[in-house]
Amino acid sequence: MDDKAKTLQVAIIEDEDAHYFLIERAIKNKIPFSSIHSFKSAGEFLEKFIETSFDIIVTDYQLPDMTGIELLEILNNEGNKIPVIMVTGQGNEMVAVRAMKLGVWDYLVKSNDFFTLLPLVIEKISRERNLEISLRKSEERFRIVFENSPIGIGLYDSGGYPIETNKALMNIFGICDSENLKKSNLFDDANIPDSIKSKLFNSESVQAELSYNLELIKSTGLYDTNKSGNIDIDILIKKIGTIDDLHSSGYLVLVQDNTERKKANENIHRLSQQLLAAQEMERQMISRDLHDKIAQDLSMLKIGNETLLDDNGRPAVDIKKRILEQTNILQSIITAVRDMSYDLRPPGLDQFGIGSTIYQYCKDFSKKTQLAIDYSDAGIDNIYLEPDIEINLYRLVQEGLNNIRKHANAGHAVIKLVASYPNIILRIEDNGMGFDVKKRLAGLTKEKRMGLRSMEERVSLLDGKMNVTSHPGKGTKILIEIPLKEKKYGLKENSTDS
Amino acid sequence: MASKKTVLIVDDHPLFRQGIKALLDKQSEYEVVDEAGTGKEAIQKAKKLKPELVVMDISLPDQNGMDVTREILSFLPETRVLILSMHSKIDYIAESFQAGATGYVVKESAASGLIKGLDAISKGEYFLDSSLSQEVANRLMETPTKKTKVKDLAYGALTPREQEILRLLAEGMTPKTIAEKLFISPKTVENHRASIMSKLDLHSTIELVRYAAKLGLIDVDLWKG
Repeated sequence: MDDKAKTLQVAIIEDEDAHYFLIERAIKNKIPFSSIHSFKSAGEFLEKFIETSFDIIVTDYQLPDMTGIELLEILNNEGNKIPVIMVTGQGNEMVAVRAMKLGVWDYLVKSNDFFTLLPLVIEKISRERNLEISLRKSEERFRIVFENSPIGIGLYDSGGYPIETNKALMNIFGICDSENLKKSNLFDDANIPDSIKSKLFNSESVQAELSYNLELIKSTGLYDTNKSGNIDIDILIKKIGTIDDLHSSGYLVLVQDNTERKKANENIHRLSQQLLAAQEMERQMISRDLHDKIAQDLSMLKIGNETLLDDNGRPAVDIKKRILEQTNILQSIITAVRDMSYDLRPPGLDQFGIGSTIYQYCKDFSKKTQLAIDYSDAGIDNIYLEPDIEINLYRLVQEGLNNIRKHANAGHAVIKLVASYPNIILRIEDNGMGFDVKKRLAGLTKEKRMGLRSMEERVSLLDGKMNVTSHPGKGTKILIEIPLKEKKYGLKENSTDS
Repeated sequence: MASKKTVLIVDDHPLFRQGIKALLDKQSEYEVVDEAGTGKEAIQKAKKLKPELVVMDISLPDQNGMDVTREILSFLPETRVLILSMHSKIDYIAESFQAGATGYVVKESAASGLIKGLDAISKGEYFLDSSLSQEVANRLMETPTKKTKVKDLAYGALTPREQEILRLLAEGMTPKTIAEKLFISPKTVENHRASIMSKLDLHSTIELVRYAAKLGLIDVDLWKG
């Protein structure tokens, strides 16, 4: 490819030898990187024409077997794209016009300056040809990118009809035949909301995440698709200037298919939900075993110990003492096991409700850590919360308070739990040292603060929102809002809207 | 000699029942007439045997001991129930007494507490294990500080829609904006607002905002001043 760009392949069809040599010398002098092929007749040239790829053809008008015009006609029929220069002995306007109509590149008369003119013309052609090659190469490269891009790309005219679309775009929408897309107008697509369309009319760029309903396309017959159901797409539509000679403006449409990614995310989401649920179940099981089996057996042991000497009239003093010691050890083990059980799973969540359970937890936490905690709740006794939400609210308080204890160096914390239809609000606030929220989000703080991250995960699993406000030295506030599932909302029937 | 008092032991742990039975058998005042491992069994046996005393565990496989207590007392109002549980939390103690039990002993104190407890409740007295006194005393001491409780109860009387509107009002939205947001008429919003103010005994917007802040519906700068 590159060699061809350097060496110019010139075919000269000229039956007069003297003339030929003059032409050859003139070209060689001016363009050293040319290679010149001589042909005595049109027939001789046409034999070689197919197998040799010439860059320029220079032909005399008057050839032994035909005229240059006839040769041009033959070449045109062969679909020739190689530039042809026609040379004639005497100027004839009729011939010139014919030649020009047949697409000849240039038409030269053998005048005095012919031998200076011809190399200049050839040079010019060669320059343009190089330019064209590099343009074509660049176009090829862009076409490769265009065709192989995983992002769907479409060019639409200003009226919303497609000019060109790539494979990815067709694949995303399940279109087999680009012809059938030709008639479908971007603005007729019912999946693109009117708000986007009106922005486009105002020449604004639009970027949106859409749930794109292909059934809607089928029912409106906008185009034929072999896909069904819904796809999740990211779409960017941009008004652009000149596209080509025919279109002075139009739209560039970029589409990314997020269906799989979204599905994967949902799977991860579901998996972590299952993990959290499994963890919760396991904790419940261990907690129950500790409390109802181990602590109970230990209690038995303690009772046995305490009654050991009842039937034994006069035990030795030291045995009595040792039994008492053992009883005390047993009691402290029982207390420890019970605490472990309560730590794993709040006692009485099912029986006494979330408010009472969190309140009890705050009390115990306060006693253990010297952190003063104000707890209040409102409206939560009247609603039925799903067990899932209940235990996670409890865990959020647990994680929140433990974060405060570990990182905040605070003296005072506030926990507020309020049912506020359609959400339940949980606030966890402290007056501790705070931190830079932006830096934390950017991962710039030294502490990992996994606590906050796992709280965020928990909140997102409940489809809730969590907002953290904090400033160094000014405490931290966490606001969590979790949506209540409407049908489970006990007071729903009492709503008085008309 | 006075006749022995009949006792039904309810606990899902056979070994533990045995231990309790052994404790009681040593006494001349009590006679264990039967044992039950589930709530259902307990109710059946109580109906049949009409025990004067029941020693009841809270954690049973089929239902909780407090509910079983309630049911037994509904057909045997003269029977006295002593809860013997692993639980030491105040909520369980309170709920047990509310269910009608008159004694509460934690299992590990059974050796010293059970007989004392049965003695007390069979005389018609209330009995609480001494190891639980502190837990109960703590709760008693903190109650008066929760004076916000009355108003919070009023909040619970709000309908979901009123809760929703209260928050939006507290956030500073005008009734007109709220109406647009909730697709209802401004008149309806005004009606809700009036109802909220009356239910919560509030008389001005500033009171409403203060109230919402106290509950945690809106944010307030807690640590200023």
